[in-house]
Amino acid sequence: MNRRGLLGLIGGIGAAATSGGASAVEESAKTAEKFSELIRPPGASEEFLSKCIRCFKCGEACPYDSIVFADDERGINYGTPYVMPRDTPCYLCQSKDSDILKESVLKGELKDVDADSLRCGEVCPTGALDEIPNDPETIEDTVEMGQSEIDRSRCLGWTQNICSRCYRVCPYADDAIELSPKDYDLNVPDGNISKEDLGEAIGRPDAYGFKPVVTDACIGCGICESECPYGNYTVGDYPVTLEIPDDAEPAAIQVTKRVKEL
Amino acid sequence: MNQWLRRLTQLFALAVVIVIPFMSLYAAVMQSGTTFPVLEGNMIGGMASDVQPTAMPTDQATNPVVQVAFHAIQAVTAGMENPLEFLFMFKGGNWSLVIFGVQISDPLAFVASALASRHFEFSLFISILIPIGLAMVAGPVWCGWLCPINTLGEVSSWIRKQIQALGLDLPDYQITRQTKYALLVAGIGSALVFQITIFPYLLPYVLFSREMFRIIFFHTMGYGALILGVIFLADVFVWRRGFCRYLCPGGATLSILGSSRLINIERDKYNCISGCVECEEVCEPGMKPYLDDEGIGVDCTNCGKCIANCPGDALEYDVTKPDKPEPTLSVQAKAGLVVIGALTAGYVIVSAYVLLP
Repeated sequence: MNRRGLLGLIGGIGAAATSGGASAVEESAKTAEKFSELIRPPGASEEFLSKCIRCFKCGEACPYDSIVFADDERGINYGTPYVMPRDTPCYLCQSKDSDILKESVLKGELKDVDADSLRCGEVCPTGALDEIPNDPETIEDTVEMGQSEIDRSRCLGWTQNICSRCYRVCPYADDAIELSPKDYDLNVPDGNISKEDLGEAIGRPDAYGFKPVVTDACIGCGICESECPYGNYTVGDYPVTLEIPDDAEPAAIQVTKRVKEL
Repeated sequence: MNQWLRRLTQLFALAVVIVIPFMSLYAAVMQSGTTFPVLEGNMIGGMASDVQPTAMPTDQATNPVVQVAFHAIQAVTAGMENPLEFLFMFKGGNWSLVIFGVQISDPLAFVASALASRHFEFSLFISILIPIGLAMVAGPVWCGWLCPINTLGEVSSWIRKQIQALGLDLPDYQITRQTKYALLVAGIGSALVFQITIFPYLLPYVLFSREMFRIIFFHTMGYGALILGVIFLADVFVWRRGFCRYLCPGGATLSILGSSRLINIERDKYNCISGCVECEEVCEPGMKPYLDDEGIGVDCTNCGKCIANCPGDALEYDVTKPDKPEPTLSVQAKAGLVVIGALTAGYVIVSAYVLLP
């Protein structure tokens, strides 16, 4: 074997070993990101963890301060952005005249956010967060922060057939959350609220009931989780806007990382 | 004159890191007009119901520091048609910065991100061209003229000198300067192989701007403040400017880029006073400008302190290639670069081979 052939052989073996090892690690990094419980800002790609350089520009750009940064106990996630929906959900850079945000039931007062695309993706220098045009339909199609899950043993809708707050605040109500079950009787405790009043309040007088079901169209913005009254809610208060204290129990509806099939 | 200019750029760099988070906070408050859960009781007091919907950000800040900052920002943006647009042109910190709409990133940010994710982000690549160009023309001027850790280090040098003037003997441990190249290789290697970007966790100037951001936005500090404190105390009591001289991979990158720089410090050997080591005394990166060969190495930051302190006016900036042998990289640094290059090339070749049909 001449010298060039030997060099080529060594180079090939080295490169193959590097690549093989690297691709295995790459897969595991993707998997780690997929199963990380942190809800990433909208537009996060699969390689988010390796692309992100922890420059915190997204947190500075976020008009609602929804983006917080992981603490040192999060290990390699330290300094990466995520959203804690129970504190502040992702309001999707919508302004108060937005069609999809229901201002009357949101905790904060919405203001004019003049954003052509979602701010965090716009400032991200690395492509860890993709730039997503600020258009309700595009957002619904592209954003995949996670998916809400309802704990039916605690949800007021499923246990007491009242509330429907998640449905009323959801930017994509009817797509992402449905009040669909038709196989039960409306049973209002104490008779404080009539079916008609509730139906009137949510703009669906013909609703069969108030048991929410989350569909795959959920984008995981977490507005429902931030607004879920579980733990502080009393029937008589309906539909007063609620303040949720810090030590409140977890919401009955919570955003979880969506795990898609490979 | 030169040193006054340098003090100004140092102040400017410090101000950028502190002012930009305040501007972003101002913009956030301006847009949403409410208090945020993370801020309640901290930087901005009160509950959402206390705040008038039309209130200016200055009315919402209760913390005096924030109030001062917000009033200043309000004064600057008062005459503008769209203050938000202006505020949005400033983002980030030492790791990746947007200033007047121009994005500037640390070369290491691009290298680590690109290698870890195997993804070429064009805008990030464009943003590292300014630092690279600056380093190739003038060497690691970032270190000498802008880096907040150098500013902190000059304070530590000063304190060290005062303590020594009192008669206390402080140790000055010296390790090989190749350590920082080894750390650079290790960091890039970990990005390449393990897909972990470790630089933003270790580089103190990145930690500095992140801690500023955390203090201003979230009113907390992370482990970064601890690292900065340790570096400062070690610089005073253990080794003079040890971190920058021996450990900083960011400075190592700039030294490599500036290894055949255009602007040098040149010594006029006829004016140089024999036996005088004034230049070495003041030199922050620890060069020996009074020596003929290799006296001013790749780590020289062109800060000009030696020029200002030379009693014989023997040193001056020179924009031509020097007669003496160019400052060159050590064998170890070159070997490390070759290893990185080979790994990268191997990866690119094989992935191209795998990806092509």
